Amino acid sequence: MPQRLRFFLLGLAVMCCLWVPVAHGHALLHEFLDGEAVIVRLTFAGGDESPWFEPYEVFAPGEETAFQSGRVNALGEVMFRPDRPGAWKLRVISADGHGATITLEVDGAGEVLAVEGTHGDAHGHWSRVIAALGYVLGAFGLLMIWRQWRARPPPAA
Amino acid sequence: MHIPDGLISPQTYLPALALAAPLWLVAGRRLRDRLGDEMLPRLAVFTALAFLLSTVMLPLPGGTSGHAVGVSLLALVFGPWTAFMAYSLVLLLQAVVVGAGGITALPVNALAIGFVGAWTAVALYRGLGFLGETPAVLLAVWGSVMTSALILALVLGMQPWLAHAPDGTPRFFPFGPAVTLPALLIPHALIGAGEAALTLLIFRHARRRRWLAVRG
Repeated sequence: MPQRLRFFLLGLAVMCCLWVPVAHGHALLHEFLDGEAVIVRLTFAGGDESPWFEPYEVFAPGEETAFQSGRVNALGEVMFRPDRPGAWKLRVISADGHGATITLEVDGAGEVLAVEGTHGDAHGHWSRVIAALGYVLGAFGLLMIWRQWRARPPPAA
Repeated sequence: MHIPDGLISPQTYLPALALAAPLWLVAGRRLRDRLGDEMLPRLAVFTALAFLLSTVMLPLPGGTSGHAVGVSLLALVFGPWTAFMAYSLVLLLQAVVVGAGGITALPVNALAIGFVGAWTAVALYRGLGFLGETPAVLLAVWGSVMTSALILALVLGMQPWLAHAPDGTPRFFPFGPAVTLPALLIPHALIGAGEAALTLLIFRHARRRRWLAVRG
């Protein structure tokens, strides 16, 4: 082997050894991606408060193992990026027994087409409360009418 | 306080339904026998008030919030069976119209809050009558809220043990009693105190008007 080639290979070996610390043997590498994410904002009924830092799980369509899990952020939001179309489920559970399961119908482009939640959306809460108060009073009103109808005297022969 | 759908297993809500159904039947019959033309509009207004109390969220220390229950007011004025029936209607409308609570969870909520809560309030009110009316009402309402919270905390805390995947992952509610007991009992100790004060005011008004069906 020519002398010059020997020196070249020796130099290359020294450079490779010096390069090792830069290679980060077991480091977790990262890269930035551009993309669309689904963002779900959560609030407790009847107020602006959110379930901050409560645990959540996201399930891909038809899957029983979580696709993503974590805690709701300080803004009361959960973000995830669906990788396939179908019905994605988001389950949020607080330690005191409050919670919700939200189903998001996602298309092939990652757009949310429909949302179905066990607790519905945050809008119109007080409208529903007032409506329910009406149902309570209405139910007792119907009961009163029914009682009066039953108690009426039989028609004279 | 009431549990929503999806957090409790069928192993919990099916036996609860089997227990609640005959109790609803008994309560319905007793209500039918007792209901008079004077009592009916009063019961309607008190049920609406209980509904409203269970809907308004109150901010609590620690960044969380909670709501009053309202069943002990119904129990102290109309008796435990009527309160159980009326509060079951409240829970049903909460689930169907407002989206709080749930249909599958209804028997559990009705038993823990409506039945046990109402009976605890009346039993404590009668048992503590020797202390005088005011302490008896305050302790009865507080004790009722705490007893219901305790039962629901235990029901929730049992879920990881009752329903889990082969690898041990909980299928429904994931936290055990070590988490659920403080999470429910500490906030409800404050909620119960506030509800007790409010109930006392309304209870006194009801007593002056001779609306009470429960004797101390």
